[in-house]
Amino acid sequence: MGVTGALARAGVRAASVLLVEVPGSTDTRIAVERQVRCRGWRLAMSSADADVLVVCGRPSPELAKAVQAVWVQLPGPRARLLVDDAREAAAALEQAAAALLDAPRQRADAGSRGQAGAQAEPSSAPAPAESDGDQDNSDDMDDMGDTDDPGDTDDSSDTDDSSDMDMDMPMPGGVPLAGGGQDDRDGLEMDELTVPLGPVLPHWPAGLVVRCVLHGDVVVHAQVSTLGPAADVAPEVAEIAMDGWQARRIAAGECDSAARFLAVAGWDHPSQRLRSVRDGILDGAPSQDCAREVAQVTRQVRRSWLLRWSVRGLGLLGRAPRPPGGVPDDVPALLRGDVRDRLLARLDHARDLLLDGGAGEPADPRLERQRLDRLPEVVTGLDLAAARLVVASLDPNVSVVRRHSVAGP
Amino acid sequence: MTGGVAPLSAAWAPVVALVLLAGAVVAAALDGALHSVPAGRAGRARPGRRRTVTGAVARLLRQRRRVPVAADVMLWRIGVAALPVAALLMAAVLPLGRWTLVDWSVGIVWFNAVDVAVWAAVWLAGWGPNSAHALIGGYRFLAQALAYELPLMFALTAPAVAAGTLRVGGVVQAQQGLWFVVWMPVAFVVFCLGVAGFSVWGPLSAPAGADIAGGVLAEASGVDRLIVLAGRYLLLTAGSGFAAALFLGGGAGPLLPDWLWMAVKALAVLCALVVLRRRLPVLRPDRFLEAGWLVLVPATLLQLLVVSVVVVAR
Repeated sequence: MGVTGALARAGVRAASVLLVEVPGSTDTRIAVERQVRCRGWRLAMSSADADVLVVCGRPSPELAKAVQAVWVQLPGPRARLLVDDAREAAAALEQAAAALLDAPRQRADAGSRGQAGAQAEPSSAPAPAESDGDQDNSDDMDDMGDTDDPGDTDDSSDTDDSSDMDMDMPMPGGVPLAGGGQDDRDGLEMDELTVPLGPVLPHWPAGLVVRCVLHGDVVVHAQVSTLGPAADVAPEVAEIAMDGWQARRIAAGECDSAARFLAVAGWDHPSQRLRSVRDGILDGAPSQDCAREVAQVTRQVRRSWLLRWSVRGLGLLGRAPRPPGGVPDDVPALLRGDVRDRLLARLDHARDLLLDGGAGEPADPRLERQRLDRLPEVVTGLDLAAARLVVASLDPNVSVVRRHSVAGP
Repeated sequence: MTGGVAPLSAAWAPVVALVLLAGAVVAAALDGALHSVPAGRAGRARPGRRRTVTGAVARLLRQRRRVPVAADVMLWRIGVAALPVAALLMAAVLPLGRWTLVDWSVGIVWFNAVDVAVWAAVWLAGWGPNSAHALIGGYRFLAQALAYELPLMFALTAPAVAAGTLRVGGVVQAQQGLWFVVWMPVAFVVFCLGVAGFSVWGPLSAPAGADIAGGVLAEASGVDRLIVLAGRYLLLTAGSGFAAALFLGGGAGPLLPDWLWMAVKALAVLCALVVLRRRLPVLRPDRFLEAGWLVLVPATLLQLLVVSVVVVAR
C-alpha cells in the first residue's frame, strides 16, 4: 500500500489534461489552462496521453458524442469533468486529483470497461456517416475499436493483442482498409483515408471539424462543419470589470490565438510568453506593460528567419494573380497574406487595442464566416503540417459564426 | 589497449547504462524546470509548481497501457524498445576518460550504423499503433532522416579523417593540442543537428509534433510511452557524449580528471540542446528536406575538403 500510494500521489502531481472547449466557453478554457499550469500539470497532446478529460462548457449532443469517443480512449486511471463556469476551475481540478487517487473507484472503472465495450460494439461498428460527432482527436480508426479491444483493459496480455490481427482480413478489427482513390497530384494511385480533424485536438479552434480525405499526409479534399454548445446555453456575457474591458478581452483573445498558432508551429517559448501576457491582460495588468510585451514578442516573431523560411507562402490569401477578367478579390485586410502575415496582423491588432484603450469592436460575424468559408479551399493540396498551420492562422470563432447563422444574416 | 583508453570488462555494462540514464534524467529535469519558468517578465505570472521527473515517471508507471484496435503490437513494441537499446549501443563505444566498454577500431562507423537503426525504430513506433497520426509521424521521421543522415555521415567523417582513425579513443587522443570544433565548426553544428534528428528533438521534432497530436507518441501510453520518452533522452545524451568526444576534446582539460571533463562537456552540449528546444520553432519536414540537400550536404562536403587538405598539407 505504501509504495502504491506513494506512486499514485507522485503520479497525480504530474497529471496531464485533455481539454475540450465548447464554442463560446473560451473564458472557462483559459481559466482551466491556468489552473493546470498552476498545479504543475500539463496539457495532453492526445487521448492516450491524458489522465483527465475536461470539457469546458456544456456541449451539444453531437459534440458530447465525440467527447464520449475520446473518453473511451483514455488509458486510465482517468477522471472526467465538465466545467461550466470559469470560477469553478480550481475546485474542479482538485476534484479530478481526488478521483485519480481514489484507487477503489479507478479499479471499478477499469473492471467495467471490458463489458461496456462489448455492448457498444454492434452500434459503433458501421462506418461513420455524415455526422461529425462520432470522431475523436487522434485518429479515425480507433474510436470504434478501442471499446472492444481486449488489450484495453488487460495490459499484461500480449497474446490477447495478437489475436486482433488475424480476425478477418478485409476488415482488420472491424475497420475498413483505406480505399483506393483517384490519382494524386503526382499521378500515382493512392489509398484514400478519411481523417476528421477536430473537434478534440490540441491547439484547435473550438467546435471546428474538418473532414479531410488524405493521400498519405496530403489533404485532397476538406469539408468543414461546426459543433456547438447545448441548445439552452445562453451566450457568455462578459461582466464589465473595468474601463476598456471589451477591448482587453479581444486583445487577450488575439494573444490566445497567436499563442496557439505558435504552439502548432512548435515554438514553445513565445507561445508560453503570449499565454502569460493573455493572463496578465485578463487580470487587469497595466495595458502599457502588456502592449510592450506583446510588441516584444511580435518583434521576436517578425525577426525569426527560421519561422519565415519554414512557413513562407503557406495558406496565401488575396495575393495570387487574378485570373484575366476575374472578379477582384475581396479578402479582408486581417486575412491577407500567408499564415505568418495573419499571425503578425493578430499581434498588431492586440497591441493596438491595448494602446488605444477604446471600446473595441466585437468580433465581426462576417469576418469569422469568411475565415470558416475560405478554409477548405486553402487547405486542399497541403500536407497535414501545413494544413494545421493554416487552420491555426485562420482560427475561426465558431461560436460567433453559429450564433449569427441561427439569428439570421 | 590503444590510444590511452582501457576497455572494461562486459560486467561494467550496467554501470555504463546507469551513467547514461543519469544524463537522461538531468536532461529531463532541466526540460521540466524550463517548462515551469514563467516566460517573459518574471513576477507577474505566478510560477506553477515544478514538474519533476519522478512525478512524470510515476504517472506513466501507474497508467495502463492502451492498445488501439488492430495494432501491430509486436512491431510496435520492437520499435519502442529499440530506442533505449540503440542509445546503449552508442554509449558502448564512448570513452569516459580512460574507460570505455569496447574500444573498437571502427567505433565511429558503429555509432553511425546504430543511428541508422533508429530509423527503423521510430518508423515502427509510428507504424505499430495503426493510427493515422502516428503513421504520419513515422513517415515524417523517414523524410527528415533522408535529409539529416547524409550530412551527419560527412560530419562524422571529418574528425575521423583528421585523426586518421575510426577509433573513438584515437579521435580523442588526436585533439590533445587543438579541439576539432575550432577548425570544424560546420561539422560540429551539423553533428548536433543530427543528434537532434535521431532523438526527434527540438527543430527536428516534427515526427512527434503537436500538429499531429504527438505523432509517433500519439497512441503510446503507460510503460510504452515511458520507454519512448526515456529512449529519446538517452539518445540525446549518447549523442551529446559523442559530440564531446569527437569535437570537444573528450577528457582533455586542466585540473579535473579526464572522466569529469568528459562528463562536463557532454552535459554542456546536452543542456544546450535542451534549452534550444524551446527557443526554436519546429521545421516543417518538407522545407528541411530542401535545406538538408541544398545547404547541409554541400556545407559538410566543403568542411571535409578543408579538413582533408589540412591533413595532407601537414
